[in-house]
Order: sequence, then C-alpha cells, then structure tokens
Amino acid sequence: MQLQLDNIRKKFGDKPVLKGIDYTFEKGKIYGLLGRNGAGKTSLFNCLSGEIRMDSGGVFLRQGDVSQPLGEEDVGYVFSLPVLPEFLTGYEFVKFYLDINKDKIAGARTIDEYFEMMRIEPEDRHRLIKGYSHGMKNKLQMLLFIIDRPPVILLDEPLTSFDVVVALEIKNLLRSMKKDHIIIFSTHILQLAADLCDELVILNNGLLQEIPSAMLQSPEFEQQVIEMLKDGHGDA
Amino acid sequence: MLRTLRSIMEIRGASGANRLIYYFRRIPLLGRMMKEGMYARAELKQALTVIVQILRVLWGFLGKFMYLGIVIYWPVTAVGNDLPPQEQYGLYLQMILLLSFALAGVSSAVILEPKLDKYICVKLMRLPARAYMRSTMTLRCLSFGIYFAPAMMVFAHMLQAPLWQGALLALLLASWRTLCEALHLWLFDRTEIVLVKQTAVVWIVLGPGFILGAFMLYAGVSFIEPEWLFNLPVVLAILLAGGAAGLYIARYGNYRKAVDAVSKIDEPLLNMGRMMKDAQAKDIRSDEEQAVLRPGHAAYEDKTGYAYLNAIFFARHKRLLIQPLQRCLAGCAVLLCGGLLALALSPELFIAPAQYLRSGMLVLIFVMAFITTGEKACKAMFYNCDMSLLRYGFYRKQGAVMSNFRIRLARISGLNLIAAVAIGLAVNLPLLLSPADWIIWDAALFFMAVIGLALFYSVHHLFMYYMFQPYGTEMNIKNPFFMVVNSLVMAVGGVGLVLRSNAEFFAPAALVLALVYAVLALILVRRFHAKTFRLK
Repeated sequence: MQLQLDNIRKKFGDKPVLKGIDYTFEKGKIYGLLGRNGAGKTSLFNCLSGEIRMDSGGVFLRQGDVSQPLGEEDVGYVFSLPVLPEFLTGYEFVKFYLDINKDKIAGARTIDEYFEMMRIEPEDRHRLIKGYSHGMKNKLQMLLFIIDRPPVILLDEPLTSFDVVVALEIKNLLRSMKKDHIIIFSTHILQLAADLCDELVILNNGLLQEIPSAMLQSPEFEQQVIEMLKDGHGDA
Repeated sequence: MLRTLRSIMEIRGASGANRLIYYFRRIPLLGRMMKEGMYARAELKQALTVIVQILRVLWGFLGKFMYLGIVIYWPVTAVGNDLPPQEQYGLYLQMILLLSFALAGVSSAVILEPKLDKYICVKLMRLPARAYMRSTMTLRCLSFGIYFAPAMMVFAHMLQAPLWQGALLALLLASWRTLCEALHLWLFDRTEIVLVKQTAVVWIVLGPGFILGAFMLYAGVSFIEPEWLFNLPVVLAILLAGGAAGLYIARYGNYRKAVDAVSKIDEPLLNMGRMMKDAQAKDIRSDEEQAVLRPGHAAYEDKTGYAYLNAIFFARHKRLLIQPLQRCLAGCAVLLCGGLLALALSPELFIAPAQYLRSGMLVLIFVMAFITTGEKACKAMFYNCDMSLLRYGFYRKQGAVMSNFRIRLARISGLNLIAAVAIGLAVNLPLLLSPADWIIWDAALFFMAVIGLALFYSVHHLFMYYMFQPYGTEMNIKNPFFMVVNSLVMAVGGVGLVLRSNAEFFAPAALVLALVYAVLALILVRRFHAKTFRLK
C-alpha cells in the first residue's frame, strides 16, 4: 500500500504554502515530517485529511495495481491541540464512535478494554472530556484510530504532551501498528524523529525533501538537518 | 498633554484603520480588491487614519442626533402631539434630565470604564496612566458638549424654544457629566468600588428610572418649567460644580490604581470573545461538570450513534433549551389566568382585541420569532458539539450530517410546538368564552398560524445554520449573508404587518410555507452541506 501525493498546491491569500508536493509514502514505515514553524506541516495534514481543500493536485491510495483517491475515512488524524466534544464523557464519546463505525470494526473490543489499552483509569472514563488533561485528551484521540484502524494515520506533534512513561507506551504502540499502516507524524523534535522514524522528510520552502536513511544514523545528522532547514529559510 | 493626546489618537487611528481594512477585506467580492499587503502601506494607512478620525467625529455628532431624536424627541412628540409646543418642550427637557443627567450619570461614566484602548495605551504601550487619563478625560469632556450642542439646538428649535437654550443645555450636560465622572472617581478613591461595574446597583437605578420615564411619557405631563433650569443661579451652580470636578479630575494623583483596577488581563469586559465564551460555557449544566457520570441509568443509554449523541447533547443543554420553554409556558399560564380573570370582571374587554387579532394575525410572526427556540440552540450546537466533531471526516459525511439534521429538527420542532400549543390555548380559551366575535374557526386558524410559525422558525434557524454556518471559532459571526437573510425574513413580516392580511389566508399559508420550507431544507442541506456546513 502506498500513499501518493501528486503536485499538491495550497495558497493562503497571496501566500503559497505548498508549492507542488510530490511524494510517495509506503506501508510499514513511520515517517517523520520535519519543518520549521509556519512551514506548512499542519496545512499539508489538513489537505490530506480533507479538512481543507487543496488548490490543485491529488492524493491517492495505491493498493497493488489499483489506485484510488484518498477518502476522508481512510485517514486517522490526531491534532496537535486535541479537538473533542467536551460535553461528552470519555466513555460516551468512545461508545458513540464505536456505534457509528461498527460496520468497519472487525473483532471489536469492549469500551472498557479500549480504555485499558490506553491506560485511562476507570474513574476518568465517566468524567466529562472538558475536565481531562491535555495528555488524556490526546490519548482519547489516539484511541479513535486504534478503534477503526484507517490505512493512513497522521499525527500532528503528538508526543510532546505526554509524560515519559505514556510517550514510551505510545511509541511502542505506533511501532506495533506500523506494519499495517502508513504513519506520518510531524514534529519539531529531531531526537524523537531520529528515534522513532524509519524515514525523515523535510517540508521546506513549500516542497518535501527526503533525508537519506544513512544520514539518520550519522553523527552529523542534527547539524545537517539544521543546515537544510536554514537553507530554505522556512518561509514557505 | 497634547503630545500624549496625539500618541493616543495615532494608536486609535492605526487600530481603526486596520479594522477598516480587515472588515473591507471581508466584504464578498469587493473585499478581494484589497490585498493583504495594505496593512503595510504606511502612506495609505495614514490616509485611512484621517478618514477614520473624520468618521469618528461625524459619528460623534450623528450619534447625538440619533439619541435625542429617537429616544427623546420622537416619543415626546408622538405621545404629546396634542400638547402645545411649550409643554412638549417641558416634557422633552424632563426626559433629558432623567435619562442624560440622572441615569447616564450613574451608568455611563467612562473614567473607570474597562476599555481595550486603555489597556493597549497604558499597559502595552507604557503611556503614563496619569497622562493618558488626563488627556482622554479632557477630550471626552470637551467633545461631549460639542457633539451634543448642534443636536440640542436643532431639537430645541423644532420645539420652538430659543437656540441658546439648546447650546446652554449641551454645556450644562457636559458640566454635569464631568461632575458625575469626578464623583465616580472619588467613590473609587475612597472605597475602591467601580460603580459602573456594579451591575446590580446600576440596574437598581436604571430599572425604576426607565419605568419613571415611561410613566412620564404615558402621562404626557411636564412637571418642570424651562425657567427652573435656565436661570442664573442653577446655571452657575452646575458650571461651577463642573469646573471644580474638572480640577479634581486633572489633579487626581492615583490614576495608576484607577487604570489597574479596570484593565487586568482577565478583565472580561476587555475581551468580549472570552466573555461570550464564558457565558456560553455556562450553558452546559454545571451540576454535571465535575461529577463522575455513571452509565446505565440515563434515558439515552438505549440509543445509538447520532441519536445517542443528540440525546446527550439535549440532556446536557436543558438550561439553554428547556428554560426558555418553561418561561414561555409560565407566561402563557399567567396570560390564561389574567384572561380568565378579565373575563370574569369585564367580558366586553375582549371585543376589540378579537377584532384586531383577526386582521392583524401577522403580529404572530414577531411573537413567535421571539418565543421560539432556535438560534441559541444552533449556537450551542456549533460551539459545544460541531466545532470539534466537524474536524473529523466521519462527521462531515452526508449520512452523518443528514442524520444529525433530522434529529435536531425533530427535537427543536417538538419544543417549539409545545410553546405554540400553549400560546394557542392561552389566547383562545378566554376569547372563546367571551362575548367577542371569536368562533371555533377563528381559534382553529390561530392554532394553525402559531403551529405553522413554530415549525417555520424551527426549520429556519437550523437551515440557516447548516447553509451558512455563520459562526467562526472565536464566537464571531463570520457570514454576512446570515444576517442579511435573517433581517429579510423579519422585514417581510414587517411589510405584511403594515399591509395587513386576513387570517383565512395567513394561517394556512404559514403552515404550508413551513412544510414546504422543511422539505426544501432537507433537499438543500443534503445537496450543499459539503460546501456550507464546515468550519470557517
């Protein structure tokens, strides 16, 4: 399975943010998307998830010889700032989500089993989401893609809000899931990217640029990435 | 002081010019002509700043004309059109004394007003608090009198009073209000009480004040003679008191404290967006906010999917949705009891209203617009539910949108129909029992009209929400068409009211229109939701 980005362009007002992105992501790998502030990482994710429309270009999901436009249901998106309906309890939200996705979910677990997977305590499950901490909200968002397992998973700065224990759990979870999914996550943190990702791509000056895998292990990795980011001025 | 004033005007001018560019760019089609780069074009912004200042001055004059004209002159001449001009003038002066001298003196003092401008100039731009306050208060006291003078002279002339009295009245008012500003400051200095923020106190003064004003207008009698106000001792006393107050304000030494008290970063009045957000957040029932909610006992447990989501949404927004209905039902109960009591005391009282109702049933357009639940519910739907869920692809799918739309329409229509039936009963029962010419057929038409309108508004609010999705993520209404179409509906009602229409035509028309609207809404939302029902 491949995710093919074909000449994606997006302008905000007069300012071009994505300037014709071509790239192919593959199943079984975790991709780290690096970029400076304002480089357009979130805009790219929003285009992929269908939340905003791209000005031109297309995104396709290719399985074998069949290539289809990427649908909104093919994407699981974890936002950097958790966005959840706060008038519901965590339990109610997961029940609602299970209800509406029941056709897609094979061998579904019970709601409590899902909560246990994410290590959300029983007493927290029946509290309004409004009262959840940032980290708990993020866990709940992640639970959604664990439930319906979409082929493409986008994570926008996901691990920064977790404490070290939860961060490690999530990292392990992502590693265990990667064989069936295309996982792309954006981050500013080079160390995290080098540690977790199989491939690194840089969004710079409105274009995606691949970092050779060999460079990931090199001692000059950090310096070289910074040079690459500086060259493009991050002004896309 | 002039330099400070100049700096303040520059800051106000620049932010006014930025705002002008911002809103111009949001005008459909026309807005595209202005590029974002405009913000950086200094010479153009200088010109805009001048335009903003001129507009501000013009508005200063115009606002006073509108205030005096609409709030005082027009009601006085409307209720007292059979009075001689001398008495009309007395009534006019009396209303000014009540509203502008007494009530506004308590409620509209600006010296301790929480204001964004104050926060920006003193806290962010570091202008000395004393210099800022002295400059702005000088400008305020002078411009207040100057803005009022032409309007007061014109209305004095229209009431056949001498022009000088109009000019003197503006001067007296400016002087009096300076005294009020000083008193507010003095009170704060002594007790740290910011009177304009004591909402309860302000309304204790305003409430009886407005009732007194309404009574004075209703009675149409002027209790004062112009000579009582325009005689040398009174004029001198007010001017001297105003002068002394001006000196007190100019010499006051502790402005830092006075500014700090009303420009804290968490001051809700400085941030309307947050204030509205906070107010809106209260709509979720607070008793459930911290509580641990156990499943299995609630009425919605047997529901699934969108029915489940909406059942919880409506259950947790009872205060917002059910309370207006409860108030309406209570109002209907009072109306019914009042009607039955009136029936017992004086049955012939009903003859004239029955006559009017038959030909003026269109008034229900406004009554039902006021009573029906809808707009607030849509706002709650957006900010508490859709704003977050619309970010998920599954929630934007046609099936999800339509399922939500149908459930919501049924819930809102249900609430509004209860209100409609209650109004129908409260109005018709006494009328049917009275000797007035009001038969079962009239009652049936009335019921048809209220039910039709209740349905119409239920569909209308929800349809407008789904088609225009007017709300932005910052509690602002971002779609001007929303306002335009809503105003048009009201305008059509208004025109109909003037033209009159008989109930035989209006009532079935309202019902049919509501049903057609409901079907159309379902079709159009299904067709266009992907473009219209999104986050802006």
